[in-house]
Amino acid sequence: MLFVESRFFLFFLVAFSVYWFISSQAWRKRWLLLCSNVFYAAWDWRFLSLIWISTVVDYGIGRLLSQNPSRGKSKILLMVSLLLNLGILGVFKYFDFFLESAVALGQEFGLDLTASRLHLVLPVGISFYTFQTLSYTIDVYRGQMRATKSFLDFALFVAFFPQLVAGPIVRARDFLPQLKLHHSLRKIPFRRLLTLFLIGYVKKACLADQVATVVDPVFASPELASTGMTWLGVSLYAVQIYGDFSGYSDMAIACAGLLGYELRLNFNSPYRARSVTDFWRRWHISLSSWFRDYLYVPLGGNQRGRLRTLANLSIVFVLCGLWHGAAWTFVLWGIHHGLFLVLERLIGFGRSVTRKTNPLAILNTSGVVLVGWVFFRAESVGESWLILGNMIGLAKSAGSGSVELGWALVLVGFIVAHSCLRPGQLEEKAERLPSWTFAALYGTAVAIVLPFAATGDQPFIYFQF
Amino acid sequence: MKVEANLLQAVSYFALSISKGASPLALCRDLLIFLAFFLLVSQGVQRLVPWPGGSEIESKFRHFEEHKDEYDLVFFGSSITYRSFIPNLLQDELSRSGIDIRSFNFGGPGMRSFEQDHLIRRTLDTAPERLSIAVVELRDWNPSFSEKNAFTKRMVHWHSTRSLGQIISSLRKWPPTKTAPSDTFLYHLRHWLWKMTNFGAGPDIIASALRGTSHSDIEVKMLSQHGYLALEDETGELYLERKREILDDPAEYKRRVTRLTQRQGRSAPTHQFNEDAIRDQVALFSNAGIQAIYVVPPSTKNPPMAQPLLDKGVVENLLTYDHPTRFPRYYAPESHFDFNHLTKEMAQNFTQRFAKDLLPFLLNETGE
Repeated sequence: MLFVESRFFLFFLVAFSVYWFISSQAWRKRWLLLCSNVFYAAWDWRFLSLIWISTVVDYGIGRLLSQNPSRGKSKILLMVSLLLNLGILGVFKYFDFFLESAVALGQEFGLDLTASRLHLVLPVGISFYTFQTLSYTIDVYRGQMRATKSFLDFALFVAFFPQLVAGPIVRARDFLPQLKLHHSLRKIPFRRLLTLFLIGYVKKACLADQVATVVDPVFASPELASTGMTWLGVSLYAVQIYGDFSGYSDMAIACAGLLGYELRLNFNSPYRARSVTDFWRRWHISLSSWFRDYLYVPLGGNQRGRLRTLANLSIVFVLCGLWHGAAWTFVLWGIHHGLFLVLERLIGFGRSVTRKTNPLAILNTSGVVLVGWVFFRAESVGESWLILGNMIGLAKSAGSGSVELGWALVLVGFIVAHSCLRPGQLEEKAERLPSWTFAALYGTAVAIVLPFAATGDQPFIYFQF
Repeated sequence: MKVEANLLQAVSYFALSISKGASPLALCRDLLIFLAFFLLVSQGVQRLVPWPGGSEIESKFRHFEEHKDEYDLVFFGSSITYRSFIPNLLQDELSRSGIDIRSFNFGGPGMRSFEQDHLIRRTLDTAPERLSIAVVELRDWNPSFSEKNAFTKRMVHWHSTRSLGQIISSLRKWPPTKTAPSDTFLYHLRHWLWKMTNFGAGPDIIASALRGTSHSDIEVKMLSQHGYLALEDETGELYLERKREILDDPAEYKRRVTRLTQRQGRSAPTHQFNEDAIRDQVALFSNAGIQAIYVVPPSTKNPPMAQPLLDKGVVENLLTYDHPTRFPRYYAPESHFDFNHLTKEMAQNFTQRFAKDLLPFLLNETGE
């Protein structure tokens, strides 16, 4: 069930109405848990079992950790949680990839290896809820939060439907305390949240899904695209992935907010970043901060000398690439970003330019990010080189095809809007409007937006991660 | 009806729950303002730039709109009408009788009664000055539609509020089919919602506003013949395949003709027409000063049994050609391009025959 589908609106209307109709907080949570399971089951009910396995095991481990076991036992409990969660993720997401890579490597060395792939379906949102449950166990292990006694609270934290399948990755220490509060409908900033939902809808349905019609052919048959079209296709892919993912995040934050829960900002105008370091403070903030807190810092962060810092950054970004998908193109994307982060550290670039607005730095960062998106989106490593070759006019196979002016204007429009509007700006203005003015403007906006929604149900790109 | 029940329940819960947090009156006011502005802007956009039809029907309509005061007679109907009535030939035939009639063929592939009614209304909305006769193909008012065409521009295009009303009234009468009535209703409700909200039509609206209408080569050829094009003049593999179907399965064609012959004299099913909708249509023509002549052209595609409509006085003028025994030439296999459509040569023959059958109506019209 996608946020832009009509059945989601019906689903949410029921979920929302019943939720606020119930006065008991415990029953509200039970209702939300039921809704969350229905939401996930609408995609494939069989994979609910994986969520429940993670939920039961991590809740149990959390309870055991809260009983102050010895350091050795605590470590064993943490290891069980890590092995189980990462094991499930590994089997469903990475097994075939590593198997194929091992076979290919063996063949390079002349070994005649064969392997049977599992061909497992990747459960939607597995990377997101796995990281959520892991953060809980690690936080409890570190003593940064108390394990929750309420199984209901924990189950809802794992399965909360607005962010279940594509984030933002919620931390237990942010979310669990909110479950203890009794939310009041009077305190819900409706105008702000409805505006945020509409903004998310526009990003996803009117922008990301529409530009896909230009992007897909460029990446499907790069040999047929001219240099101009390749540039346009790659640039619009940057628009598409931003619109798709940040649009989803906006809608998730808005839906959660309408139910009284606050999720943190996940995107902060990422294409206004003045360095790659800055980009990662603005792009998929919940993931980059997860990697920072649960991988980079435990590896030693920047506290163990320059070389170790650079190595840590490289490790984090290779794994960040792998998190996004089981393919070498994602690994290359991670290496690409890691490399530029390392370079920025070496020359002190990232730190100096982030202090002031510098159009050249923004342009430079955008270029680096754009090249990264080629690796991210290309069907194979070979095709990513072909596309990059097309972009600099090197590929012999660069075909014909003129740049479509309409789509170039869409790109320009996006750049202008992205440069001028800061996150939350429109929502704040909406909140200040009298309710009847807001209703009139919202009705007008919806009437203008719906014609520009893509009519096919395009899945969210980030569902696959 | 389960979904509708859920929806009603949800709305009532919604209203109840919201009313706990805000003044119910203010909430109702805001909801009404929201809906009013939403509808105002959506309908305003539709008035300024109509929903893109995206088919040859739309090309025909645009052409007619530009030349609306040049035509005296229009044909409305399915592909059977499209491939059977030749306006140029009709003009020649009638001119021999001293009658100068220019006609336009609005027939379109897959045109069903609901879409046809919508097209008739759009056509009359253009207030064509000379138009005095409408020849309307009678088809059943089956509300079930194939999923294959769901949410295509053409399907959405005719889903006006009136069409939705016609669907609902037809649905009440139509005998049970594989698809549950509630599913059929939801199918059309969703199309209606798309139309009402202009959902997804933005890029086409802009394109049609910027570029106007452009015609393909085949459309230019069709428009130059006032809406008629013989199947033999179509290009594309699809048409060649259709040509082969009758050659590959002559036995099936024979079965169809036999079935048609055998049904003569039987009583007509009562559910096939939406009589209220047809009465409305007749009144519409009458108010516009247009004589409506309903026809059932020669076809083996289960044409409706129309005589009861004339007997009941629902329609005043009826010409039927669905009798293989009375019109054997139109049912001979060699007269058919495929199972349902006449060859170019037989369409010429049929148009000549139709010109003769039309004469009494035209003489009535001119008072001669």
